[in-house]
Amino acid sequence: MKKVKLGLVIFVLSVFAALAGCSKGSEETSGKSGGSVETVEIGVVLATSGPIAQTGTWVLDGHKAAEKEINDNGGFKVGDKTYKVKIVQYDSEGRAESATAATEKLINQDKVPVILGTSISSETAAMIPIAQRAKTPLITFVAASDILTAQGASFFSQAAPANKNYVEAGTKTMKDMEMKNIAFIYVDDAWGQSYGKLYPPAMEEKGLKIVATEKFAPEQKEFMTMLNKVKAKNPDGIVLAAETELAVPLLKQLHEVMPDVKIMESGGSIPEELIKVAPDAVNGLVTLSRAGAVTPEITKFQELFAKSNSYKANSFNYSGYDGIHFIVDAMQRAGTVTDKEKINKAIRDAKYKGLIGTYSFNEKGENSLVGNRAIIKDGKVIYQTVNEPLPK
Amino acid sequence: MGDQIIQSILDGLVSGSIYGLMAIGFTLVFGIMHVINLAHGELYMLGAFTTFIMVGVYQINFFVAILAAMLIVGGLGFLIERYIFRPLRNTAMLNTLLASIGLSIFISNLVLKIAGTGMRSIPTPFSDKSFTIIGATISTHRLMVLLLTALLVAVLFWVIKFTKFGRSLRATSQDQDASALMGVNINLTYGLVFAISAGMAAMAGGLIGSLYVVDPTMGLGPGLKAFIIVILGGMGSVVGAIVGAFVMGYAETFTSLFWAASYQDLVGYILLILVLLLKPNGLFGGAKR
Repeated sequence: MKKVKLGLVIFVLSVFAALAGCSKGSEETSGKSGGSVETVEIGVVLATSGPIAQTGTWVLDGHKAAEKEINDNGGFKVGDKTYKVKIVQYDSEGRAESATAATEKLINQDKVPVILGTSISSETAAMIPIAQRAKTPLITFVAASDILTAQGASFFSQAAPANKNYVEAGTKTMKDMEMKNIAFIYVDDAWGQSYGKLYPPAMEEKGLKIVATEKFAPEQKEFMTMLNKVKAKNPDGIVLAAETELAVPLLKQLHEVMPDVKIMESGGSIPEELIKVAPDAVNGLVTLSRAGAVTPEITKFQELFAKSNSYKANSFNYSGYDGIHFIVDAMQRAGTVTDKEKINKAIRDAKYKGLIGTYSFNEKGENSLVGNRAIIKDGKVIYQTVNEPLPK
Repeated sequence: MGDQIIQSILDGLVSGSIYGLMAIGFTLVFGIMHVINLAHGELYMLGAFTTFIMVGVYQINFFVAILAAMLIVGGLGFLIERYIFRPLRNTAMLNTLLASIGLSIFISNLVLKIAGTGMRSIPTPFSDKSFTIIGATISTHRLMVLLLTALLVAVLFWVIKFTKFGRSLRATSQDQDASALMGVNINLTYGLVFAISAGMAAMAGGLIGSLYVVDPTMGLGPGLKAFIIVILGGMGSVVGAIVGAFVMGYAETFTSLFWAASYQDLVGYILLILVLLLKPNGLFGGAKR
């Protein structure tokens, strides 16, 4: 009887694990040609379910906006031929196993010439060796951990503003906010751990004192004990590294425990979404941002995006939009939509001006995009470079 | 450190209450109907969404909205029992388990399709004011969660112990056939048990969803946690579920205090393994012949 019961418990726990991984089915598309205009399939792996699904969904919406724009304009030309774009997307569910399975499928079954993904560093890290073995270009526009380029894979390029580029902007912002004794709280995933490694020496160099360091699990929603522990150290500033989905409950509870403390978030959160979901908890918050001041190109994209979406475009949508246009540009410069080595070389040689800056890479596949910042003030978001003074 | 320990005792009490709200409904259904309802987390999510729609969209009073969410999701629970679990009654437990898995996937995907992945926040009438109790602070909202949970548990115990319906519940859980012979309406009893369980999950969703955020996948974690707590406390035992909830709440709180918040789930699983090894029927589970 005991064995039966133990077996039943294990079965049920396995089912929960399976449920966690299949809350949304994969979306698959197919088809490569239609009439005189051929179709190029671009592989996309993004977590559109799981604990960090919102970020992946934003990026995917940006990809789709670009796909629609290109196809509505009749496609793009490579040599004499015109091609339409078709996104082949799989849901990585916030799990490295699903991300790797999707990568294998895109390479071996869908035979895409290039893959974009994902928005989560731990997933992307697991995809890199597969893409490298298959000599298929893999490029991420969101995952920002420095562990990604540390693999030294020649077929991987990091088009997201990397954490190490953000650290400079982060320490400058801490100084501008007049933080002295800082509590550092980060999500315990590959992205957050990267900050856990990069921030302390950079802060020490700038004379910023860390009085408490705490990390939390991505699935966590309850933070009171952790925050009360931090409060006991009397910090005058808090530096967070948390994606929007995780930052919202954390900021709401921070507002309960330390309503007057200054807070800086390190670029994982979308300020407009924070205002929408937790308006009382985020006034005065400064978050590092891939987007700087609103340019005419951004305004134009926002208008385009509004036609097919029910929410205002944010900087993760910008990255998604840039991603598809960037690949199209690389294919045009490579003169091919099928030769993966030539496309990869074109990616690495790029000097593409997108919505969030100019994408270019060094020999390790690292980009040179810098961190900007967004300040939430009285329900509005003010974007600026870190060289501008903070608004009073 | 002393202040932090007192604060953690209060934090653990709130966490335990939150878990208790979820676990009691889960264990009621198992104890009386012998159904492991893996869609319990999705009923919690539906409760949060229902509360959000009423408060956030239609500006209905928060407490009225939670009561309405309990009734709506409770009614849905009654229908679920009638049309999904009743036809499977007296068949192998695996059948109801699989049905609940299907139900869980269906509900979460349906809400995902309708509402999308976006996050929502339930506006609450609670002020930012905090209360200080022996050096520990608690917000009005959390204090309300604590009090409402205590009230709900007290009412539930009173119903089970002192009402005719409670007697029929206890009798049905012991012997369904003998209870039917004594005049207990088994179909109605089972329907109401499922409705109560679903209503409690909805209340938890409304109360806790307003502390965190509301999204279509929010039920998975609490559903799993409720299952672990019910195993810890002993499947089918309401007292066990309450004790299990506080054991879990305090284990996580003190893990966060003395170690790191990111390891608190790990401690929950270690507890589960230890209890299964040392006391396979859970802390309050009786040995089955």
